[in-house]
Amino acid sequence: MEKFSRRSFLNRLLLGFVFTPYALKSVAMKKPKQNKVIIKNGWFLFEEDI
Amino acid sequence: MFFDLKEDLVNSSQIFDYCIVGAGAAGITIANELSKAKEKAIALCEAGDIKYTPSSQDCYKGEVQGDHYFPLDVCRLRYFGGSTGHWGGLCRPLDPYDFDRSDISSILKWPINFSEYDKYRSKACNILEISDTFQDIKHSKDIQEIHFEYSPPVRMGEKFYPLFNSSKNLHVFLNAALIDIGGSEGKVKFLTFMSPKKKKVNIYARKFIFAMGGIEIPRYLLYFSKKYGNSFFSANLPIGHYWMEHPTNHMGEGLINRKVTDKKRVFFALNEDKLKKYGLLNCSLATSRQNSKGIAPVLENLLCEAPSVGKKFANLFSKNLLCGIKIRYAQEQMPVYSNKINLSDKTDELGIPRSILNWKVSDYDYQTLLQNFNSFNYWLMKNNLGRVKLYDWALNNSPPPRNDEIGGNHHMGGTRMSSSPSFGVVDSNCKVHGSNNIYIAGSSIFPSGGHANPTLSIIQLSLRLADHLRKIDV
Repeated sequence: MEKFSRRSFLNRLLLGFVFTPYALKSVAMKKPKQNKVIIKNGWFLFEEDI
Repeated sequence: MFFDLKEDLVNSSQIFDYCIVGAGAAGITIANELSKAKEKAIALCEAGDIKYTPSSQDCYKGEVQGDHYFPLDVCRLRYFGGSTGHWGGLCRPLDPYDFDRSDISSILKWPINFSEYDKYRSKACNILEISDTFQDIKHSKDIQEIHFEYSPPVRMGEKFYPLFNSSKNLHVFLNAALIDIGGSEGKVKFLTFMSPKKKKVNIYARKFIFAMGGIEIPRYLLYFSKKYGNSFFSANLPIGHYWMEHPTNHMGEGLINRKVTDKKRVFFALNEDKLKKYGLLNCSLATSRQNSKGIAPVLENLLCEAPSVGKKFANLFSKNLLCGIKIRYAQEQMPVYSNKINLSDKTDELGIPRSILNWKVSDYDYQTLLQNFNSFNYWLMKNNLGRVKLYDWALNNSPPPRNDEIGGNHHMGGTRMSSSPSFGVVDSNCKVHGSNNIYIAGSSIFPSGGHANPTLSIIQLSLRLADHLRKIDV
């Protein structure tokens, strides 16, 4: 069992605050793997979207 | 001071320095500027009343041929203040490159420099009660977020009524409908107006400024040209031709990262280099935020068509990172000879032929729209900022739905500015080619229209004309 330390607790707290919103945004901002665009019923999509 | 031809007897023996016809954004701006010189006598003649009346508005009825457009008595107002009585207040100046798109066609070059127009921006912003800061934000090498200001909106009639009413040298004539023009030796000496009681009044002046709007000015010039030939201005001017609108509609919808569109409505446009590289006209694409009721069917549709990204987006949407949008465009239209105002065989109650508007959106306009959209969409997809769907009509180059916006009620180009009488009706000082003393103010003088709403530009160019008239009359 991991020994509780004040330092690791603070680190986790900090990571939680700093990186959670960043992690969510990074999902939204993730660059596409490929650039081939297809049009499906009006939607402009990458093949990987389907 | 105000005179109402409905009631007042008008002493028509006075010779005014300037007679301005039409009390809309252009006419009121010029009247206000010129009347600052107390020694000058100015007549401002408005065909309508101080408020809207159906009988006055009836004179605006006309015929539309070509693409679907608004009824001509709905898209403008005929009373003191003109169409500022129903405008939305959206303001943006033209872009510097709107003044010279000779990379596409020589007809898209203005005979004046951008700086001659831009120097009146601050004063025009002051009139429209907006800030003079138009800071665009560059998002990529091609895409910029462009800034519009929102006027309250200023109703020019209401704003200037108290000032004009107390003025000693500015005479505002209400219910004064222009019916004829008179003079000799090529010089206009008076205009004849008809009162609602069918009484004729001549207003004499040294200079005449037509500011009746982008349909009425061509209509009256065509009528006077037909009646008097080249007596007062050159024959064979392209009066009414090269008429333009800002085709405006919703072209698609989608789901976009909240970072892209954090406001209710955000405007995007391609930058100058991109437009010039691909020979595209100017165009704005606005993303309007949808409420949750509007988003649900879009998300459902995406889940159906593209489950993989649909699921990701549903997850992001639940975390408030995405929002639903509609995409609305307002685009520059290519000035073409066949888009024109013509005279009908039918006449209004004053005996003046009614207008026929012949207007079509060209293939060039459509290609411009698609290319602008493609570049915007490429930027969104490349950065994985969202997915959008084009409506069927936009994909298939079909006419847009009739219940959408169609245009901006922006009537431009029918008496365009050009140094050549073959390609324009007024010269760079807004004087009608071949005339001694007829000037034109308003958006009908625009040689090209950009995509920006025209009221701010109308006021800037009206201030410029007033400045010019003051200078030549010193």
